[in-house]
Amino acid sequence: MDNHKMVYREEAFELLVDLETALLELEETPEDEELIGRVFRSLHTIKGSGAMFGYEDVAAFTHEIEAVYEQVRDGRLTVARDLVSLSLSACDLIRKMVAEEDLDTTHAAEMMGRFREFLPEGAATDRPGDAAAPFTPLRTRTYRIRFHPHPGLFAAGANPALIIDEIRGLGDCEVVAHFQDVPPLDELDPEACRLSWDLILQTDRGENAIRDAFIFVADTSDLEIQAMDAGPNPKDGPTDFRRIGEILLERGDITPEALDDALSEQARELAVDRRAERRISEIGVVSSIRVPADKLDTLVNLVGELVTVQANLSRKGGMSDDPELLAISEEVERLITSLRENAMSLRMLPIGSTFQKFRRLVRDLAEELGKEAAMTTSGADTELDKTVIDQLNDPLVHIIRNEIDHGIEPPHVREALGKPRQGTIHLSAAHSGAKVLIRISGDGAGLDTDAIRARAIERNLIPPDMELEEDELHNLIFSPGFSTAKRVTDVSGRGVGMDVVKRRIEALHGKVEIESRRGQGAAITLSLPLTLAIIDGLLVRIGTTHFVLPLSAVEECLELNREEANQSRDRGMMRYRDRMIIYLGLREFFGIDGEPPAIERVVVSDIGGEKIGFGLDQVIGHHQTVIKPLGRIYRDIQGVSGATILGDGSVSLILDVHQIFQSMEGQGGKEDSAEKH
Amino acid sequence: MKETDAVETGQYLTFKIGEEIFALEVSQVREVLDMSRITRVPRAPDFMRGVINVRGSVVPVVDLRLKFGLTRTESTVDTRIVVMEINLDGESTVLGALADSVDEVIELEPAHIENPPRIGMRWRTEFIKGIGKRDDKFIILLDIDRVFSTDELALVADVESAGADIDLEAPSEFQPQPHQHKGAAEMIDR
Amino acid sequence: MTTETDLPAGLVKAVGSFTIYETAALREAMVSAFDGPEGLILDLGGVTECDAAGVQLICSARLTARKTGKTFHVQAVSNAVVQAMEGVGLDPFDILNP
Repeated sequence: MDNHKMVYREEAFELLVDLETALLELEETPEDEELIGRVFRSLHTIKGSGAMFGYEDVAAFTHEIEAVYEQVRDGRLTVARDLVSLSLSACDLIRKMVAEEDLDTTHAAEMMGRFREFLPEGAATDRPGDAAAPFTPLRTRTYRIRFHPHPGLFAAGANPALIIDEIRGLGDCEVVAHFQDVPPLDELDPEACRLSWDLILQTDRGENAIRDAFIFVADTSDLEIQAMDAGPNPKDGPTDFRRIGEILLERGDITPEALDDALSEQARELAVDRRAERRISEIGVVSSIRVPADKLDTLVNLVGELVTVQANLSRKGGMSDDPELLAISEEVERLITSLRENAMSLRMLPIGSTFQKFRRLVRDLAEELGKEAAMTTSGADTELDKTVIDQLNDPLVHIIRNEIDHGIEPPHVREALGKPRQGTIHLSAAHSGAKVLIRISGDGAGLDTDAIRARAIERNLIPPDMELEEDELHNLIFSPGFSTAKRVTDVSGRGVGMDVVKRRIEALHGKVEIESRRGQGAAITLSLPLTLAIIDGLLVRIGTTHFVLPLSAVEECLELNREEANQSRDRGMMRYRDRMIIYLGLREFFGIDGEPPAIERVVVSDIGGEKIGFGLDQVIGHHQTVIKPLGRIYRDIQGVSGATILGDGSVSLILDVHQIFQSMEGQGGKEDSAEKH
Repeated sequence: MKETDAVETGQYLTFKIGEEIFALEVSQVREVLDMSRITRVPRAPDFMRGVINVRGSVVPVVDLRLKFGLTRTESTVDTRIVVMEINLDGESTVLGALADSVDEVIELEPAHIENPPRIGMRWRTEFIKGIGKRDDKFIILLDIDRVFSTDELALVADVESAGADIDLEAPSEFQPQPHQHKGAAEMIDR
Repeated sequence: MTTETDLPAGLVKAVGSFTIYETAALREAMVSAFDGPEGLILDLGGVTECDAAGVQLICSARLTARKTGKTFHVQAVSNAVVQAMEGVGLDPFDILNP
């Protein structure tokens, strides 16, 4: 049996158990609408997915039961003991069908016949609805209301929406607006009303109630109210649909074929959704063993120690004349090498485990915010160092939260824009060279650059007259203290801005990029090093000392002549593009002896939205940097995150620009930036 | 790592700092390297001379002369880096120490090792496991773990940054009593 | 209501109210946008209030586009606009999409 069938079978058995429970409860409280709904939904799901997975017999059989409970749901049939009993035996039969046991087809046919007896056509006398209905002064009738306002309707201060709303309050109402009489823009008098309406209303309130709704527009519109047939089944859907269909055809908007197409299209989409859900639940089942993280770390540490011991052994083996010892030592060395690789790879985890956690987050958040959103993923098997994954969680939560809160539109807005009701958040991961790209995209509204601009001006992040490119505007959301949230919601009003996300990612030697298209959505791409053990670096020199700056922290390299450099040093500020940014001479910061060169270099970094220029002697170039720990005795040293070995075998230090920046702030080096924290 | 003062028969690597002979248990010594280029780590205490590349690993190098209050180790043909494994607060770490020269590996029997005298020592006694004697020369058996304990590192860092103009030739922090008190007081302050 | 200046060609962005009081000015803006080669791009993401006259104007823009064959694209829409359309019995999808 294929996997899908298996899943359906399990699901059907669960549904049947639920159905039985609900039926039994319903027998006790036959009026409980929630229970009726539960029964109906269970039946509907069994039928729907049965058809999808090839259980035609289940679908056909359940269809009959469903039809009966449709009557129950609509209040035309009350559940009694006999129906419950019949339904329970039907459950047994469905269970057999799902289990694909041999069954007596005549038994099934007979049972279907008994269900049919509950339906109006077969057993009209069985309907207790009429007798039980409370006294009503007027019969429910269907009215066709033609509402043709005069052009002066708007000018008279009338609001058609309010009138229509009132009519809707009288009963079941279908509104068809006619806008084909609205002229093109160049001929339009925008203050003249050219819209008209047809309303089909089923109400027991009588014609006068309808007329009352139009009382204020009696002078500015033509009104025609026509009672249509008062059929025996006023709630009979298809009849209703025909009436609306007539009007739509009249209007020339739609053909019944098109409508049929639309309906079957909808059904297909539903099926696809369900299938997708199934796939996701399959992905969720990963064969793995959970190991506490600290055990893993201990293992890696132990392997590290083993490597040290093995080095000793190799040395001893090499010194001795015992070929056997040497052979053993070499064998141990080989084993330990592969053990070490293995242990390190244990810390490489597929990012999918993290992605899975967000599915629930997306669901819960969407619900909380009255939105519909689903999460899709790709590249879930992309592997990353556990330490990186661990630190990714918070930034990702924040980005997703932001996207659902500000990006994804409410369902009816989405529908109006021709987007699916349900928004989609797509999480993807992929390798790109020595980097992993994690992309969070949503098909929401995209960034409103005008709102961002206004906000940035309000927050004094940019001067009012500043010209900015689209992407520069987008990037403003990463500025400290920026938040486009108009209202403080539970979800994103937590005082954490996207600036924090950016800082976190940069602390991992990563980069954050944003793309957005108004109306179509936005995507944030995090590019992260595969492991924290290797980074892309920029090799620089100050005096005779070489340093590596993480390339992720480098925005631009500039030159300063002696005069400019001295000025910058004095002020602690330098000119960058059209503004002043913080300047820090690394020679002074690190207390390196010697004179700076005539032309000084400056590496401009962006640290959480704050630009800072680091003065140095020379930029040598790109350097693939394997990060080595500096040793425990240096752990308290500020501004250096590790070391790396250069091509000539010498050791170079890796600068931690975030720490340098923080230590400057700590010293009160720059007052206004200190204020922000 | 052995913490006992009772020293078993063992092999020791001897090296000189100035005229004094020191010894480390061979089990703590990983290798002895010729002097190589040391990359200074800025903003670190002076005695922490920097880091070197030991076959692909970055290993910190300390200047025991500065640590012991002598002048900075000058590089000569005899200068060596003794790469050792020490225990820092329960964690094993690899460290290189500069020595003016490295002499030999010797064997010392426990009978030939005495406890350090309580007074009259130029060196702080808690850094010393014992005094060995060989060919009429005294050999100071270092308790290298203690020399680099976190407390010591922090204390030294303070001394280095606070007392910029101390006479390096004088064994400043090794005068036992006064400094010990100062150290203790500072640690309480913390 | 405000409309933005210095926007890309063809873009009309309505912010705030979109009612009978604003429709005359907006009609002007929309007509001149249709005169350009790009057609009309409407951004209604910032509309906070919309009435039947506003809805009618959007309908008119749609009909204009149908008649002239020029582009009419709504790049953003707010809840207020959608509710106004639904309120008068129009399917926003029909009006906002070609």
